[in-house]
Amino acid sequence: MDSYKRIAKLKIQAAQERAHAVLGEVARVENKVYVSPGSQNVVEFVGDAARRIDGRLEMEQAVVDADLLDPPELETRIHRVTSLIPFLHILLGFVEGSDVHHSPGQLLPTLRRYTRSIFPASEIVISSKPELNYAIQDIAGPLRKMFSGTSVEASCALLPELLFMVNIPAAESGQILIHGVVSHELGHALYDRQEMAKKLLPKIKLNESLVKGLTSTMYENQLKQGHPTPELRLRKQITQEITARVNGWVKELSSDAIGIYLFGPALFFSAVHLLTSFGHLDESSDTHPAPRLRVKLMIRMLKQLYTVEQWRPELQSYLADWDSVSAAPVKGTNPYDQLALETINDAALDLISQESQSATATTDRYSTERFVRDTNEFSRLLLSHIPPGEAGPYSNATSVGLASIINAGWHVYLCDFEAFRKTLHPNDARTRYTTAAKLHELVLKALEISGIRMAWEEAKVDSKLGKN
Amino acid sequence: MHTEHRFLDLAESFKNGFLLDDIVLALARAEKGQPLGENDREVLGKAVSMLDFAEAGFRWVDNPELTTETRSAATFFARAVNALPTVHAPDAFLKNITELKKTAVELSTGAATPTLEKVRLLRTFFYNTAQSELDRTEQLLEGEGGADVLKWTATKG
Repeated sequence: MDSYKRIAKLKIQAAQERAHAVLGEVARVENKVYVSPGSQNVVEFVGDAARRIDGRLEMEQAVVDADLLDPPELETRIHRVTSLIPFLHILLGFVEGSDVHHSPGQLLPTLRRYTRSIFPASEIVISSKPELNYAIQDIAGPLRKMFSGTSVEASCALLPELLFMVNIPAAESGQILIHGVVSHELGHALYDRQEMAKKLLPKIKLNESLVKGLTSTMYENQLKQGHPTPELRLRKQITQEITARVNGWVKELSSDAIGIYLFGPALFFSAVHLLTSFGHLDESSDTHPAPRLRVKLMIRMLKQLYTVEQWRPELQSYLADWDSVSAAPVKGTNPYDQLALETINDAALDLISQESQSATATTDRYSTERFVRDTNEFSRLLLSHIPPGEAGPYSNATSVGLASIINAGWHVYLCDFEAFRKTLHPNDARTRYTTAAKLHELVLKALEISGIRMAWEEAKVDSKLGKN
Repeated sequence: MHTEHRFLDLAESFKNGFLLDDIVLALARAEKGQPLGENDREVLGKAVSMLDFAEAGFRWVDNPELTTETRSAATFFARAVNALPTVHAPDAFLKNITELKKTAVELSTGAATPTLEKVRLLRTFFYNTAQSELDRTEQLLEGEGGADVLKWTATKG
């Protein structure tokens, strides 16, 4: 036993040295210039947490000395605490690529303001890394939950209420239009904040006989093959697989629905653009429904909320193609997917749409009127190479919102791409890619102007209030 | 795989693991006959809740309704099944969970003193659960296992 204790202490000491090494790394990266204060929040959090984990490891020495735990129990306990060191490295990895030399800085102010208009106490970090991975997520909430009641809990005070980490593939950092999917991720945060699951889940009805029948059918099938899973384990498997799917899928679909309320057609355009590139239409997992089902919900909502019949023929035809594709039944590749698909039927999709509406404030919702204005006015400006960052009379212009700019950009991309191409210098119009790059540049410039205009308006308000 | 995708699951796995380790420590104290402090009783109260969830998860198939607690019930049921590797029959599982819960309630409330054998059974159950949670944490740290993947993302490598 003494040798186990000595090894445990050695393990603690080694981990403490690694915690100090993390502090060294923090000292190195904290001097970088970051585009968002959120990066600094993460670095400070890691530094503070490393010190507290060091303290926690010290406390674990007392657990070793107390001689209460069996060697395997002690090993498991100590190992869990020492595993926090690689976890800190993961956090530091989040801010990599968010410094001024890598992060697409023009995007941040507008994205940050938009996010704060929905979640005032939020912060956003945009990292650009050399990996093909587009992801957005809040890390502050999970960190608070994880460390709640532990000695590291106090470090969480260094974090904003919500800290969205956006990762953009470096190679595609200029493709601004795909950022319409940010509204889906905000949908996740609203789903949690508005406790939508509490209202929505009890209204989603599972087919009881199908669930019950699944257990016996699977057992009988396995019995015939001569490899039956014990009944208890089969019950466990079925319970886990079904509940994970229905919970996860409802959450993802609700986030899509909220995204449609926030950004309108732009979320749909961004989503299908990403999905067509990287996802199989019928591929689902225990956390995510098949893209075909997600497209179906989004199109259903667009047809209910927007005057799609008055859209430009190019756009109507684009929507009709997706409509016909999404109308085909999703092919579940296993009985759990099939059961989830039976459960999340058209009525459930409408329920998700209705509940998602109540999760968004009226003032935050994009509308058919705005879409008509944005596609008429701002798309025309883009075609004239004028970034639509502000609108209104010269002396009294106001900034154009993020959703409006992205919608106008998509409209040009999908309806007027060739017309836009003809307006470009032959060098820029050389290929589809060079043309798209020019469009993205214009959209990015519009976002930058919108950010500057908004900052100016805020400064004027602050000045009136005597804040500066 | 990319770290971002696993983050939610990883944070949750750590959180569960910390609690499970504390439950094991409290049970070790109880087995050694040491007095249980307020903290110990609190974590043992959480052990009771976990066992309640495990039971609810077991029964879910018989009445498959969805609530915000359904997912937790399914998760704790799965953990409980894994922590009782020699139990295969549904009735035996329920009997085990009921017994374990009785012991946990007695310890958390101080209403009675369970036998050392019963405390050891409960301790073994929670140690098995803690170990399997650590395996999951390790998998997530190394980039394996189920992950809360944003399906917008393209993951290669």
